[in-house]
Amino acid sequence: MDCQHKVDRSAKCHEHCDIALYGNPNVGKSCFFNKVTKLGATVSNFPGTTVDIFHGDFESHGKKLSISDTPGIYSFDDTSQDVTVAKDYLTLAKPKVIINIVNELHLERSLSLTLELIKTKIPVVLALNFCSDAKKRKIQIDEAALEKALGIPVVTIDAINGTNVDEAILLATKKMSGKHGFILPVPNKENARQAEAIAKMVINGDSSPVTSISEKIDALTTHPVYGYAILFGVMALLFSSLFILGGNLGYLTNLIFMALIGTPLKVFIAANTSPFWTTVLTYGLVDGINAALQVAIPYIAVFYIMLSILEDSGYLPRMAYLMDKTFKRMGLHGKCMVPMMLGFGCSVPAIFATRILPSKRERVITAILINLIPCSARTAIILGAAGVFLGWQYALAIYALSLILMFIVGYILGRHLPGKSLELVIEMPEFRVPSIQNVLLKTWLRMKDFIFMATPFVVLGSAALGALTSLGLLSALAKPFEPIVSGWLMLPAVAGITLIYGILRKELALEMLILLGGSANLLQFMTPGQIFVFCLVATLYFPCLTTFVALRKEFGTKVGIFIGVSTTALAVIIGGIAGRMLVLLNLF
Amino acid sequence: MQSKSRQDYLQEIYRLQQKDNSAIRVSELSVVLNISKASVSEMVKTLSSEGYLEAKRYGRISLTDKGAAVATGLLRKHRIIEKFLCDIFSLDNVHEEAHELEHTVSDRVIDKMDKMLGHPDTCPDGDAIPPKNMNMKPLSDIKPGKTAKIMLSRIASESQSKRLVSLGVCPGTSVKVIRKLAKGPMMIQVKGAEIAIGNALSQNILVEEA
Ligand SMILES: Nc1nc2c(ncn2[C@@H]2O[C@H](COP(=O)(O)OP(=O)(O)OP(=O)(O)O)[C@@H](O)[C@H]2O)c(=O)[nH]1
Ligand SMILES: [Mg+2]
Repeated sequence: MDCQHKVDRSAKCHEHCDIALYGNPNVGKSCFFNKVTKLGATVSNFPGTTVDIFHGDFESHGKKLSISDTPGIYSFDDTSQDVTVAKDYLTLAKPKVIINIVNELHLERSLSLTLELIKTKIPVVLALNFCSDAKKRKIQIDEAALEKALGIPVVTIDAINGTNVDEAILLATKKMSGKHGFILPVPNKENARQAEAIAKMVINGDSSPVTSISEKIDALTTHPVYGYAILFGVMALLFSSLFILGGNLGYLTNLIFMALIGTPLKVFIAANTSPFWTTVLTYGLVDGINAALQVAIPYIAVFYIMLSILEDSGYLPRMAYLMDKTFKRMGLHGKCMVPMMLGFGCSVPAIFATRILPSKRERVITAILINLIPCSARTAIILGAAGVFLGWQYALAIYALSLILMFIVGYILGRHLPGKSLELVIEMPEFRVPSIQNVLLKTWLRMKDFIFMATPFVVLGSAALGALTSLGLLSALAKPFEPIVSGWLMLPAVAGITLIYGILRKELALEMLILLGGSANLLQFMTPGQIFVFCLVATLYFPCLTTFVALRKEFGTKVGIFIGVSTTALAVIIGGIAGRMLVLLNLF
Repeated sequence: MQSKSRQDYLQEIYRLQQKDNSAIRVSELSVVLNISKASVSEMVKTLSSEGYLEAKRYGRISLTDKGAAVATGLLRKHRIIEKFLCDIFSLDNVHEEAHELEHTVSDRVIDKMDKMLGHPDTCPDGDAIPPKNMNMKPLSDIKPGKTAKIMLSRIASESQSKRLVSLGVCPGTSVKVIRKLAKGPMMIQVKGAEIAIGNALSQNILVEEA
């Protein structure tokens, strides 16, 4: 669960807004926002990172101001959901001033939006970003002429190192007015022509990219042969580093935690409380947390570091380009790859990221498919159980199975949902070396949730399990699920209870299972076949509660319930079949 | 040879397609021509059966390559005549007269007029004059490394054509094909930015290779 996508934040943003940031996608709006507010809006190197309004307060020269970051748009005349969010916000909040951030290298194209913004009657300040890149390419922009042509203040900034960010804010504050009129931006064909004329006047130098390292990497990564080889390599690297780094990190955190805190605490609890409370407290404070540290957090952290590197390099849109043909078979197109890749991290931001897709049909199909993608919590289950106890091949098999299922479901939906699919349209950002700082920051912001939000669940959840165990109620509670869990899926009855936990947060399913098994070695308690089936079912069944809420918010209750019920049914059917196949094939 | 009103249809459809950057609706055409929707539909049927028009998704229609060739030939005449009447005879409001003359003036005469005007690029309204013997083809047929100018869009989806316009992919702009995947998307450079577009889009953007 990504902490930056709190499900209900838009409502209160409408109240008051001094400065709003608008501009094309991937021009550094969120970067600018972070510099000003010191908050952590996600910054990534692909168009469509921000899909919601973010609000922040700051002080400039003793004045308290509020600023909003918005989704990137090319024009208000567009029907995709992220543009609608940006447009609705402009209408509802009527900011006192707009800072329009543009990429100097794409000035001509950006000016169309600038002209649209000026016509809203809200004062606009134009901030030219990427000035150091432009300088490298010997592109010069005549700021004075631009100011004169547009009739608005213009300032050159660098959103990364913060050059002139204060100036831009100061210029904006001066232009701030609460009494401007407001006209909804209307599409105007003249804008493009006017933008071209202005661009001709103010730009010196050829704005077409020169051959650079970025271009060479671009050519290689989108090559019809090498491109796919690199894609395969990237995926293999991702998986193996997860398996190796995650596993070892888990081993290490377990050792450290038990030596420093776990064991002494256990002894202390046992010495000072009655047997009942000893079980409850040991489960809650030691074993639960130990399980989280061992099997969940390490994998999730490693995954997010890798994902952040991918996002910041600019590789994701190249993946979209390469995968376009495959996605066409599912009635989708390559751009759907972007939300899906985010889905390997967490389904919630991935579901919000479907806003960048142009039609409702694609959004729904993609959102359904995202539920079949192993998110990082599911990865923790797959690698922490199947990977550690059965071997990496089995973990890979579970991944492959869920992706094949995803493809089949996509194929069926693509054929049978009404409507036709649209086509890929995506801008390619330049390749950049990811900054370590941003990668670690993003990983931390995304991990924070797994640490702070999940800890109460882990502690209370495992304490409750402890209480049930010592009261001898566990088997009674597991009874109702027995026909499905033991009868059909052939798992130990208590696995049913852990799967219920998994609805709250996916990784809890494994953490609780380890707890109930009474040892970190699942093999003492389950057969290899059972471990495999457990991981498969845990991966496929009901998306976690937060995902359900996000689905409901974006697509309505019906879609949410449909996804919840159908994924659970799918998990049960596939799990049972897989269990029997394993027996038949005599694999375990 | 088509009758005059058929040529007018093709020319008007070309204009509309250029303006919208997409395939168009019959109703739109009927408004512009000020002719009832029923008779417009009738003519559209005829022109389709003759291979000048094709039906697209969402009930939209578009010129075929053949239809586009007729339309640009006519538009070329129209705009050269306009330019001639304006520049040489110093007349204003020449649209109606040019409209009448375009059907009667021969190709030979048009070429002479063009030469006399010094091969102008645009008509008095600032619209581009299509070149002689234009050879329009789908963007998807352009080889990597080559540059082409966008002439006409046959894209049926309004939302996609709008998105393309805002990215600068619309009639009048030059694009450079960077690379493409067989039967798949292509990467183009337009207004200094690199954009990937799907195969069905590049097949429906007609260009003139530079
Ligand atoms: N070299 C350079 N890179 C920059 C600059 N400003 C931003 N970036 C990079 O550009 C990318 C996009 O930055 P974001 O702040 O996420 O862009 P955004 O406008 O919020 O993008 P969307 O949310 O997709 O609309 C990131 O990789 C930044 O590191 C700059 O001035 N110079
Ligand atoms: Mg952003």
